Amino acid sequence: MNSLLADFRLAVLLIARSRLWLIAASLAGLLASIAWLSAQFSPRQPATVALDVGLSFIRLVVPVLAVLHIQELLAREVDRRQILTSLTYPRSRAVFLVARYAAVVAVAAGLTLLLAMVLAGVVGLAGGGYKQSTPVALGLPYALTIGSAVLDFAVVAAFATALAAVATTPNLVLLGGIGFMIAARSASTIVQLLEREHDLVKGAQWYQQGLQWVQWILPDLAALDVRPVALYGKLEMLPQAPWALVLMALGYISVLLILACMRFERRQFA
Amino acid sequence: MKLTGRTGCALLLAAYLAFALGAKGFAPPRLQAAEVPGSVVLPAPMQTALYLGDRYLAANVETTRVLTTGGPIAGIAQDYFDRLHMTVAALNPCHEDNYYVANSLMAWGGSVDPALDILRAATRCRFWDELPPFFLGFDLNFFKREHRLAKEALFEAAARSPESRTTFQRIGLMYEAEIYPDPRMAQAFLKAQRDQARDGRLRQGLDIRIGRLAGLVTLQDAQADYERRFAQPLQSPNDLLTRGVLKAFPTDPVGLGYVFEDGRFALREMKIRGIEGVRK
Repeated sequence: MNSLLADFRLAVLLIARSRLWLIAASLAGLLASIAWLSAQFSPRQPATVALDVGLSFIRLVVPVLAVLHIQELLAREVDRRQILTSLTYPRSRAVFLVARYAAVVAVAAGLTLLLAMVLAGVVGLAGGGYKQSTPVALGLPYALTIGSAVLDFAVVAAFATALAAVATTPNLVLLGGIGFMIAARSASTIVQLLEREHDLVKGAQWYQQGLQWVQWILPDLAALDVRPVALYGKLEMLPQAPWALVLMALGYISVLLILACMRFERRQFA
Repeated sequence: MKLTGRTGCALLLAAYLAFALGAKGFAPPRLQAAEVPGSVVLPAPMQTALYLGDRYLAANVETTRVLTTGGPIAGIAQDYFDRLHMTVAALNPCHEDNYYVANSLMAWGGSVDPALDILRAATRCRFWDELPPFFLGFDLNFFKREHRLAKEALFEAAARSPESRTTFQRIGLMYEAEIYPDPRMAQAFLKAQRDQARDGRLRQGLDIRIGRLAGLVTLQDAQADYERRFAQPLQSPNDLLTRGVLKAFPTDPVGLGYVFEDGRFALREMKIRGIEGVRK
């Protein structure tokens, strides 16, 4: 346990040293300006659009940054042969891998929290002058939205960790991680929308049946996007059985990390 | 030979001249393409993938596209905006700007059926909001004369709004009693929407549609005038001109015009949608 904590601390320090504060500050500034500007385009719900676009921004940049951190802390370390020194300490490789993963997720969660607070402030400012018929909810619904977003990022980071455990080129982690994120986030939405577009594809039913197996392999990250709850302030818009969503995400993270540890324990560093 | 000094510069110049000659000289092959009205709107599933699986972001960007370009446009060119609004309704049916602008600009601009679809989707998604079912009932009554469905929509609105429950119920009962839809009331309603609009383009677009309703009011007034003066129902709109009730028919700023059906004037709807556009 002690070695896990020590590894965790070291990994957090390593991330912090890679100009984390500068990156966080510039992301926060970018987020504020994007959210504020997009509110100007909405005639009837400026606060909702600011929150909506801001959440989209957070959900895009934080997982990309997390994947980059995984690439830096695991894949590049192998590439630069620093791994040989890192693995000389007396603890199993699994502890090393899990500690680094946990550090990346912790940093991502902290960054998300920071950005979420900035966004809440901007939404308050942008929507202040106009009384919407349906106000946004920045209390518990917002917290649920941010929490499920962090869960989403943890799944993406776990996939990147599994890739880093086997990858021989560091860029595979970035490309594969982002590709996984896009696929897992869009699969269920695309299948659902294809049903409606009768003139676009013939036999959307057939596609849907053909894509049934996807849900046993890819987690449905689109379902983890529960932002309507905060956008419209209606907790009824949560999916049925939210515990199943949390279980799905945690289960998938565990599967990926166990696979990663199994491969990493046997990996040869020539 | 080393590539430095004058030789290098001369070669560099010659190579660049060759490039510039080629870049300036070639012309792309002329493709014979059928003229397609409006622009391309990507279907919702494809947009989801392009926006990295984020349907809410796609809906917001597309709504911004409508709001910054759409407003004053009406008639045939409007088809493109109809498709944009419908795509947003598929991506995020709860989007308030989308259903509101779609109702005011599409329904009054002649695209009644797609506007009704968007309002139905908004009524389902925004289960707390009384405005979408109210607009839905209004449009069903005014454009479609579906009085019973209109009343149902108004009662749905009444159930959602404790403050104005009785008002909505009263309007719903009026619809059910098949009281003839009054374009003057509709005009006042659109003017109120225009005065509320924060956005200049939306205001311009609503002005065009108010002008369209003014033409309908002129026609209906002329018909009433004719029927009072000659004590017989109007058979053909041309009688208004030949008997001197009207000097000229009003022009529709939207460009679709009016129809005379079952002895009544009404707004013409956009019939043929999609790639053929509307043939005049």
